[in-house]
Amino acid sequence: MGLIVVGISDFRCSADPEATIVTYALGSCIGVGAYDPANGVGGLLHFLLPDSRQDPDRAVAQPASYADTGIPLLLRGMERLGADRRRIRVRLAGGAQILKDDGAQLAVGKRNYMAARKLLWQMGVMVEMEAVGGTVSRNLGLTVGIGEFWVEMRGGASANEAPGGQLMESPIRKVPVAGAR
Amino acid sequence: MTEELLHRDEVMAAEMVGAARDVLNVMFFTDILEEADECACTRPLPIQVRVTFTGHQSGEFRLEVDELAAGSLAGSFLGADPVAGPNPEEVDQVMGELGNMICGAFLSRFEKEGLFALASPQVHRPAHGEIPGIHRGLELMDGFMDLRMCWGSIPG
Amino acid sequence: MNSLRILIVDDSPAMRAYVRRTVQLASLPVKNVFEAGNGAEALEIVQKENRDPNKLDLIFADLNMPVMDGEQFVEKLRQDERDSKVPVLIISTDATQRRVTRLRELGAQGYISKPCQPEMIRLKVQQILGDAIESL
Repeated sequence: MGLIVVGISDFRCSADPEATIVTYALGSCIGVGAYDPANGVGGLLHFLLPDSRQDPDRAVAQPASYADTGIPLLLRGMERLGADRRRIRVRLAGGAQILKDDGAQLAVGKRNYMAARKLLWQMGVMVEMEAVGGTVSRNLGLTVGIGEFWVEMRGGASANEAPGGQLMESPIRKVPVAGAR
Repeated sequence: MTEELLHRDEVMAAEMVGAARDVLNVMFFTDILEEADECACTRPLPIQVRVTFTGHQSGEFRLEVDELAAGSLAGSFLGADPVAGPNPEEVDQVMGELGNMICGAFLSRFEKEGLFALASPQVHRPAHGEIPGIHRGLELMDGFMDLRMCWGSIPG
Repeated sequence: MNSLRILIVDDSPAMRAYVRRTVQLASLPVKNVFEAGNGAEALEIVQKENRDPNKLDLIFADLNMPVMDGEQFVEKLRQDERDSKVPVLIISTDATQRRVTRLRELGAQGYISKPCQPEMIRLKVQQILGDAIESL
């Protein structure tokens, strides 16, 4: 119960209606928030990089560091609490370009975002809403009891240049995303 | 070739790569790492897609791609099981659709008021024949791709 | 509850698979998905399926197709009074303004230009079928 904080390269799932799951300081990282409205199971992943093949040892030690190992972990964790893959709805946040001068770093946010979308499409889960791109740092939270997601932004520019994003956040500080319950 | 024509070709090539990037990002979850006048791959690319178009201007678009990139792109598009992957027929079908989308997205960028029609894409293995016109070689996250666009009738 | 009957018209089997997958993942209450490779095949399916008491609810159509293209298909569909009310959602790479205007005049309900994310397809379907989905 209470506040569950998800660190970098970590994930948490909960079916406790009193719980709020939150992750802070999503820069180029992606926060994957997931919710099954039928039985109130929520989960949140904060992954760092797109592809576990970059560092297989780390992928074993910290699988939630990568999109391709972390997203299956998140979905399986929710399924263990009773969620049904076909009902799970996902929100994405992060994927920003924080370090402007580092050419390699520039691409990480976008590559993380595409890796998340690719994995979710492959695993048969649709993205309902996203707040991605731009140069802002974001926090992503989920109030499990009512299935409500929210995104907070800190500094930088808004996300109007979000890559491929048809569904984008409005440029306000706190963005509630309607729960589907 | 005059400087003005060279500049026009540069602008068109940039638009062609921009259209390809949009399609690859949104529907294939991949990106262009490098682009150049010539393909960076030393071997010939084995899969060729041809799309002819008619309208205000007519011509042909060609996409060539290596097996690795084609398999990866097709798997991404179809959401295929990463272990089993798509079968060869599905790979060709998705490459045809990729050629169709890049050609259509490119023509839409400067034919805002015009109407154009695209013929069904034709997939050839191995790739054969070259066409004049604008050309870009791309390095993708999983392999190589070549784009060519020619306006007017195709010689030979 | 599953009762929507949908027809996907595209000469590209890959694109038909993409739309079919989107419809499945979008949790729409779909009962049947029919497929056609061009406008002429699609008209045959429309005429056959619309004899069923449960008529087709939505048609996805490409524009550039052999035999009969999407524009001719929409025109012919709207000429036949019995089949005229089935909503048509165009998905095409051709995003020129004249094309969009012309298709709206012919009676297409929506237009999506490729490349497109699956959420855009779901959003348009919900806009077009909103009341129908709610009443299921």
